[in-house]
Amino acid sequence: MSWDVISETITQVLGVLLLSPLYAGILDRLKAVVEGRRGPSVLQPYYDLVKLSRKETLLPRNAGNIFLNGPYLVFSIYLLISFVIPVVYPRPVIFTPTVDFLGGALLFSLAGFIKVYEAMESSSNLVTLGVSRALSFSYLGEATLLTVFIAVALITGTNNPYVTMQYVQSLGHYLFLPHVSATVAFYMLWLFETGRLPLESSGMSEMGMIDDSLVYEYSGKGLMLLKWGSYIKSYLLGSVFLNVFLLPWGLLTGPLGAILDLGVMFLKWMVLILVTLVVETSLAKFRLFKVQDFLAVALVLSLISLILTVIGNG
Amino acid sequence: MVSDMYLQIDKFYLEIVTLLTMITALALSLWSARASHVVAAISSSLFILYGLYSGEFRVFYVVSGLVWLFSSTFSALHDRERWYSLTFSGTLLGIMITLLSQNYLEFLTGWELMTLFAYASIGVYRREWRPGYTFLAFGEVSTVLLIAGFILAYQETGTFLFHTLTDTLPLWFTTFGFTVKMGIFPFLVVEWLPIAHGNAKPSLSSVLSASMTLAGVYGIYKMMSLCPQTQALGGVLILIGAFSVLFGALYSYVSDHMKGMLAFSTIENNGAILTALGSLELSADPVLKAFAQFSLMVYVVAHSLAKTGLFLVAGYVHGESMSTLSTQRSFSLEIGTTLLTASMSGLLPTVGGVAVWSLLETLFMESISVGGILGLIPLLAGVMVGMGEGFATGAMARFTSFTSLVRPRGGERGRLVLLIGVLMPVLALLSYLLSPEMAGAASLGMFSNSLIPSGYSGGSFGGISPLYVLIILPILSLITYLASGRRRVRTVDPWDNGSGRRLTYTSFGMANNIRLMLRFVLRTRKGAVETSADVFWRAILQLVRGYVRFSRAFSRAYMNSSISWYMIYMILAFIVVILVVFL
Repeated sequence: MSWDVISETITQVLGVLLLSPLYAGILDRLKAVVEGRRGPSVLQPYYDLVKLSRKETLLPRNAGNIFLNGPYLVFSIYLLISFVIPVVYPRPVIFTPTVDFLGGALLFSLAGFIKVYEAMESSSNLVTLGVSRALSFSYLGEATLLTVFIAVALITGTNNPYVTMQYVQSLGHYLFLPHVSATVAFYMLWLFETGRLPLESSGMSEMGMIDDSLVYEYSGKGLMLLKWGSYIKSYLLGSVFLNVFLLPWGLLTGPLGAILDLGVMFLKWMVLILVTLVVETSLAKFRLFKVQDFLAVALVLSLISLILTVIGNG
Repeated sequence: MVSDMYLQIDKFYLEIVTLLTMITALALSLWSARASHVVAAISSSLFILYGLYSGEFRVFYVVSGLVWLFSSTFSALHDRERWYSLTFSGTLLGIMITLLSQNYLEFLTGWELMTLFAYASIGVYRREWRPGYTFLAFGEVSTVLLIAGFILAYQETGTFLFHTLTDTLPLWFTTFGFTVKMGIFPFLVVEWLPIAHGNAKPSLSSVLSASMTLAGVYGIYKMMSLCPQTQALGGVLILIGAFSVLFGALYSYVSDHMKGMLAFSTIENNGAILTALGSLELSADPVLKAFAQFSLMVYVVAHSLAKTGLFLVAGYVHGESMSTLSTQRSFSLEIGTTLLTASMSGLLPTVGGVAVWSLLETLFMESISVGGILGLIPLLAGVMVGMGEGFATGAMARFTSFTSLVRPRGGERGRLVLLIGVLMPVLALLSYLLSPEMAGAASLGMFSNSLIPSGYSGGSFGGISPLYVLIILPILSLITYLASGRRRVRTVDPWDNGSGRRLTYTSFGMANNIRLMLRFVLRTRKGAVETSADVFWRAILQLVRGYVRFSRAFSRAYMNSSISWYMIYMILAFIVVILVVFL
């Protein structure tokens, strides 16, 4: 293990850890501006995290070990994923081979699994309502995540995201139809996985609540870790989308390159944020059950990508 | 050479002793249930030892032995009925004879013994014979197909011994015979297995679900090793298996019967195992075949042991409906069930995670390796397996929530469940031993042999390191815990909009979104409560009713005590028999 690899690893992991809340802050601020509001500061997510870290933890009467300790594990899972996929630096870093693309998808599922279990331990009606909703869509979400990851794997014949990233840098491969449909499918999935689908709320927040219900009973440090974890998750999935699907170019190598990559990623993220801003503010509100149709379209798109690739290989 | 001979002799004596011990357990059941279960546990331990000495089928023996050991131990602690211990040890003896058989006749003897004792056990427990009859009926359909396949094999080799065959027809017949026993899709019998397994005692349910269906897998694997490779069967098995994964998991998700939902989950797991068997048969690439074999073996281990643990959880619960059951949770049950369901949901770093990962990688590599239209079969199967895993996660979350997480705390119990739960990550580590290859990446901090790589002749595909996930996650969690500082905790009531009510949301309600969203598939009927029907079971019933109507009409028209018609039948039958003999 060389010092270069160590420094590149530190840059990538710290970059993910420290900058992920910033993008959420920027998106919220720009969204407020588009809606004619002044909006919160772009640093608001950081203020929230600091505030929560100082608050006491409220433990629902029936909850116990999983509720109290689950957030540490969820946060660690997202942190581990930040070692394994190209989210800042374009070459493998320390521990990258721990899981491949598919293994990474299973780690995301593990985090989701623990979030459901810790939420259920609170034995709250509102939480159970939200868990019920989250689970209702997981069959489509999980299948789409797998097929999207595999869609790019099949194009290159390997399940290694770093190889795929280099492969699609060529314009011919980038504009290959299976890659294009997988890109659209992944973007739709990213909107769902990061809770950015506009749902009909009908005035009561619980009516359209899915993701937020899982942290409904949390407070203090537990809530801080779960919120921070969700920022990291959003960053990880968004960055994979940018680096392997939408904008695979521009990242530099070497220890200095790794630091400059933080700036490159910032520019890429601005593109993603602007696209998302347009989508979020122009898309009509969904009814809850329409989420299924939305995900089904994403799954079909990724499936089309797979079928085209396999038939093309034959 | 000499040591090999001694090993063979040792194995022979061990086999005899193991069988005799199980027969003793059967005899002891007439005197004392507990003594019978204890001796059955000893016999199971000997069988594990025997399995460790064995070669190609080692995994099947060791896993079966472990399932019996856990189930017998649970029965020794909780079951006192002598009739039950008789049928329980009889079922184990039947499966043991099946696994140890050296020829088709021994195999069938064990198979029938297993079926009859299990049938009696289900009937005795429920004092209701319909589930038992259902089980027996499908068991005999399975036996008929097996006999047909074995006769064809005998015709070719002229012996009942397991000899290599050149024809694939015996494999086709026996495979469908075994899949009936596994509750799999080709006969559209998605419901018979839950009816039977859901109506047995927890320890027997675990044996039926984990070990009896494993005997079916063993049977297919054994016949595959005797017959030439057939890609057509491979493709069919992959599609049937993946379809069973999807629908088994879906019905498990919407089922509100506690053991029924676990039995549906068994169909899902068996579907995945069948998919792995199909991959093995489809691929001509030796590197990919070795990886598919790894996937199959890991799935066998993961499903059998996790399902055993989950059925034993049912033994600590009063009631059958997930919505109305009553129980108390303990640390052992909560953590044990969580680990078991994590494995059943196919999550790393448990053995179930390694199984799902390896199966999906196999399917996707196969779609590249085979390519073209044929390559679409493993591809579509992979997507169906992915969707099935989503439902499976939901079903397992519901199971854990309502058998443990939301229940009030009680006394400490369920240590056996915790033990099996802890095995899930441990077995993920042991899965390295089954892997055809191991690798490392020293420059990236991964020491040698820490990775399980996946690959095919076209090159390497991917890889995972369950060991590193198991090491890194606790370390990162500890660092996070220490970095976030001491927490102040205050206990409060959960917020329910000030209603002051406790949890009123039921397990049934939790699955209702899916009942409504997939109402066309599930045939959901709207009423006072939402209910859904098994479309496959309905199809079978309609088929049966149609046949009954046809046979009544036929008998009234042509079998109305007319001597001349009977003469015509006899002549026709005679001609058919002559034709069959000559052909």
